[in-house]
Amino acid sequence: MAATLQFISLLGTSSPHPAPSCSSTTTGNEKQQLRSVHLPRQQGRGRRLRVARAVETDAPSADPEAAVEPVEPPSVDFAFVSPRLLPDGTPDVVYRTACGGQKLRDIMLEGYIDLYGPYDKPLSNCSGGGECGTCMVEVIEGGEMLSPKNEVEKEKLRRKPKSWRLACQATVGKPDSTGQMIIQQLPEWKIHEWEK
Amino acid sequence: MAAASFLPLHLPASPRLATIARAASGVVPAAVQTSQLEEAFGRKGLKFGTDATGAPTAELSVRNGSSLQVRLNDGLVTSYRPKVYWKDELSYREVLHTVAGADAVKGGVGLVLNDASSSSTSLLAGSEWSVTDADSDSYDAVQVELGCSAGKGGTLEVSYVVTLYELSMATAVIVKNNGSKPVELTSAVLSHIRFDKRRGTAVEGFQGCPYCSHPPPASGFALLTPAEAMKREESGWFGGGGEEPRQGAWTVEENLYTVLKKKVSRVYAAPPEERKKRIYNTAPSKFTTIDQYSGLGFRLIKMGFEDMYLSSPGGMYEKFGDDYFLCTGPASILVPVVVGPGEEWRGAQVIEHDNL
Repeated sequence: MAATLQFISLLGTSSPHPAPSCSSTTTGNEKQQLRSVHLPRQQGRGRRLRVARAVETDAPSADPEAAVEPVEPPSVDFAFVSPRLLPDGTPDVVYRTACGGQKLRDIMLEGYIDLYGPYDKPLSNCSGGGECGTCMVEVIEGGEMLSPKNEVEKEKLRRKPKSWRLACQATVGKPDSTGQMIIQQLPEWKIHEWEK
Repeated sequence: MAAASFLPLHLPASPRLATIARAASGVVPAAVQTSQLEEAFGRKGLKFGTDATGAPTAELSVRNGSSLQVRLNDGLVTSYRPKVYWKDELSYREVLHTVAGADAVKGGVGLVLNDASSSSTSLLAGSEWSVTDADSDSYDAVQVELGCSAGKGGTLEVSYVVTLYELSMATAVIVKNNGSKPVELTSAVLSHIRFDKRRGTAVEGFQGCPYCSHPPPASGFALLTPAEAMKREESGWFGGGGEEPRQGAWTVEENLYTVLKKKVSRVYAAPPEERKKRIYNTAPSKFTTIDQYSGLGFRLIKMGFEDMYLSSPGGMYEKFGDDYFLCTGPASILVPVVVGPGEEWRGAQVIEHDNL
């Protein structure tokens, strides 16, 4: 169920939008079509796409034909999308990068991403034991890198959409994996829909 | 929280209204100016008047009683009083901290736009702001747009849009470069937020975000000058003065709550060195202010800016009135923004709350 998403990063080439949106959304209708989220292409595929114009003034220009980029250790890129949109209707995304082979929950907690939402208090969740079902996330893209659902997940997520996973049970690839994932935090609270 | 209806931002300025506004910004007595503005742009929820020092102001108000006052000659928001639920009753609380100076009020929420290439001279100094448009939906949202020409020879067209919603207020800036050369800007929207007591002041939302000690951009309305903001406080009883990193050194915020009793002047952002990498950990887009004594919290959301500036006056707050305050807001000051000829740059700040 790969969602086809064309993304324009908030930090990227399109001008960021001021608070009220230019498109008139129908009032009262909280489900909005989501605008796009971009991840920079991985190494070896040319110029970085997330061109923060600000950086180019002092950095040497990244010429696609030019020489060798320094080899970086294999890592997986993540885009975590918050359940609430920014006031102008664009998605609230944060980017992280991490080595593969870890549980998604560990990657999110180390990156200070809000995984549990209202269940973040001590003793409100099972801290990775696979018992409470509060660490649900929705995988928008990159789900093939995650380990298959185990029995615990299948049981807890029986009534939920197929793209949802438990972050404490899902492992992201292997230590030498590379790839990109887009994860929706707190899918039960989101007010937007992802295009298919 | 209901999503307020969003108004289209860039309404085409009707030529008749625009000329009246420009004519009004010449040497015209304030009373005449006010009545001309009222005739051109006044509507339900938007009134024009003058403040105590005689400067023309616009007052925006919405149905639930929240109101906002903005000074028209330089776009300073001098008052934001949303309706909040406080001490078991609905009342209005002034969010912004202002100080009546010798000739003008200082503080509030203001825009800083400096030219990065020529030693940070303000691009807005000496520019005349005029009201270019206004919009409202008569109940829950009111918007006023100010415009001015800035930069050498007036090549930059700057629009500043102030909007008041039921549960939030937004200020947005649009810079269009009509000249033939690219221009480098450092910009910020600085807000002075008022708190009840120094001891109970904190912000939440920066955990895990790198920060460095940095002066604020120079501006005419800020209560603390850059030099004053960076001056280290003498260490108090417990010798706690040495915790701020040196300017230029980056550390990571480890605490969930950043308590702001001491004097700090920081920029929270992804370090510029990190931004050159293919992918880097991005900074959070919002944070919440916490006032332990009033129990009210306000969320500041940044859009289009790269950094978040945060400073607290520490012991110096007494020079500026009885209340403690923070000077904070989104900014793009570590790495200047380049706006090429014909290009446009936009940034916005929203202050919202759920205190109802």
